[in-house]
Amino acid sequence: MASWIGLDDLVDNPTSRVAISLCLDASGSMSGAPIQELNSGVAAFYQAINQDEIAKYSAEISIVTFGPVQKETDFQTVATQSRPPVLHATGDTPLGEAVKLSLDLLDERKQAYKDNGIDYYQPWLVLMTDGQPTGSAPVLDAQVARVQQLAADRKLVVFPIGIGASADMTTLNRFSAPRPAFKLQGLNFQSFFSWLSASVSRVSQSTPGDGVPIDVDGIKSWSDFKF
Amino acid sequence: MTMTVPEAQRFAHVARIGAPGAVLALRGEVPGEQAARGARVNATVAADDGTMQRQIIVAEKLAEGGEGAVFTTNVSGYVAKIYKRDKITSDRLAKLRTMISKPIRYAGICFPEAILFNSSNEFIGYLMPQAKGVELSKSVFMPMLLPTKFPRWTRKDTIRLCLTILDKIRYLNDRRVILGDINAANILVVSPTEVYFVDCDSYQIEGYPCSVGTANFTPPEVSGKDFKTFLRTQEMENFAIATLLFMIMMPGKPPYSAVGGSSPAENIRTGVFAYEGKDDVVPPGKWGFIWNHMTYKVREAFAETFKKGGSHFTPPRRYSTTEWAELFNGYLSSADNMLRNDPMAMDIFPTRRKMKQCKYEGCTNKFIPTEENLYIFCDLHIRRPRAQATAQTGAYASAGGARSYGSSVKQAVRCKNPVCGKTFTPTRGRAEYCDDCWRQVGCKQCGYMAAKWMHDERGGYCQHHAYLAKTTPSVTKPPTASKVTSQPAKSNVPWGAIFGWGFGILIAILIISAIASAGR
Repeated sequence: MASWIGLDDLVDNPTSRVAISLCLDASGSMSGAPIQELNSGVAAFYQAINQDEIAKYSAEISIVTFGPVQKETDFQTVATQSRPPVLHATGDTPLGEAVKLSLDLLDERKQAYKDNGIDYYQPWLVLMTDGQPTGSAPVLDAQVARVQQLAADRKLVVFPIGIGASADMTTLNRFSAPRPAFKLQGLNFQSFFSWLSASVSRVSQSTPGDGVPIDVDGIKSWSDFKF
Repeated sequence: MTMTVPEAQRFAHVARIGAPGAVLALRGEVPGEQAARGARVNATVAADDGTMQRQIIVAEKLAEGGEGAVFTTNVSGYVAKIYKRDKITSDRLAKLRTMISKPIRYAGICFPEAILFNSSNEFIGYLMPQAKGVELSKSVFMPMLLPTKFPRWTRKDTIRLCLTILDKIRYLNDRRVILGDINAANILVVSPTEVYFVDCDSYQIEGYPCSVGTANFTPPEVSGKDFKTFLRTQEMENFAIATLLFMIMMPGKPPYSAVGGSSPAENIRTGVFAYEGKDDVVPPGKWGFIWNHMTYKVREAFAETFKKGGSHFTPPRRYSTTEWAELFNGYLSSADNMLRNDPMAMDIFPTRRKMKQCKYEGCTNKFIPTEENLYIFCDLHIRRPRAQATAQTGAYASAGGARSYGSSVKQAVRCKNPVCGKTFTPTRGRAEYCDDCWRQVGCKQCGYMAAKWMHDERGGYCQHHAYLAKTTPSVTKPPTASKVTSQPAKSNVPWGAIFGWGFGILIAILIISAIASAGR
């Protein structure tokens, strides 16, 4: 069977995809407990997706980190890549540049879906940071506008999440406007990613184009946010 | 139509859509509203089938969905669906009253049979036959899961599955029930002949529309329309049926999501269908092989239905369930003949093109069409690359290519089975593999008989055991004693299905158990 599935997942796997871009702060300030918790949260996310027989062929995850803006992994199903890369904390917080890379990769992937005739759900962007953006302001502004446009066109679901007391919630709020951004309870990455995997499983069983059924109540498990 | 259904058993023909209803405010309880999955509720409700009322017990919560939850009951073989508060509406009640007014009773159709009321005598749900099996969307429609859910299936089984589903849809359509939202999540499969239709309360009857649907199953004439705002026609249903059949035969691949296309909805509107009915036009890649192995008639029917300008593209010309059933019955009855022509004919996931008969005049050899033989001639009648040519002379090579060979030229060729590799003199019908490789041999594990070269493609196993050998290390690996036999079968042909394996194994099991019980 393995050989029929082959390497070309885009050709052989007709399952409708949900692309999830994790754009994660791995700057120096995240070192120690935060990056460890983040790593174990992401690992648990992969594991939970892998246990769902549909989501594992449907969810495609890409991870971009900043410190130096880096593509840790391009979009792949968990069936193809079952473990996430280990993230290391170093460098500044070029938030705008990282979001740009995430969105560019997302655009590429959507084009690949179209070229191969694969249905896809509204993609997700999860943006996590614990500090102030240090990159270029015009780049950041451009990305905020891009994200807002995509969200308004219902072409993207955005989850901006602040970690800790010094997270720049003002900037994050711009990404989720008119709704305020989320704030993680302490370092509760585990609860967030378990909520995210449950949401992804739910999406992967719905119908493309139907809109994303978000479990609002579940958000309380990892954020104090009120709708 | 071969059989007419008495008018009394059919729903009325209604041209106008009914007015939308309103949420009914309840004074009483909704049983199991807060219960978790698996929790016991044990609430007493009244079940009304239109002629009589009786008390039944709603026992345990089985599953929860967007509209409500399903519970076991004390009525054997029946389950209860109880709606969420905000889904309990006046139009739902009126629709269910109409639904239970006709006797829709057919194996595998979980149609509402009684309406359920709480202790305040308020409408809360309905009673229906219990379903079994795994959703099409989580089995047949996922090529990666299909071999794990139904490891012994061959194409005969997917054809039979199509026929079973067609039979149920025809039963419903004959009674003026339109399924509307034909959907792989609402069809549960136990076996090719045991299938359950669920979520039947969404079906369209009389003036009550089916208010949901998905892009792939929506015909061009209503593309983009809100499903709540119109009644579907039989013609629209026929489009969805064609899509469903296509997606069963091409596991999970929608007809309009072809390589290079735009969105499915856009391709449906423009009628851009990437597959051709003709034998020689094979779409690239593995989906092309699957398509290529179907019978010409079925391929043609799909192409004429889905391609703009096709003879069955316009809504009134779309095939009916009866016509599709005829086509698939024809496919099933030619299956054995197809297997004689090509042992891979009944693989669900074939790994190469269908074998063809050589086009050289008078030649009856069958061969696997490839780029090398120009998809036209068998090895005997095509000029092989110089390096491989054995008894070839310069005169042959230069005298106008392929057709310069006479059928009388019988030089020795190399057997195509990489495990064999012997040279042999081709004879009628034996162009590619030597007589030895056409010998019937048994699967190493279960003894199922097939041509030796086919078994060799799978490392000596039948389809089922080749799959098991790949996934479970406990199945013994082929012996690696001699250098010739240790050469592995080509890695791109590991496990495809041949012959009616499942069937063969089943018969074997039956015989064995019959012998065992006779001995007792």
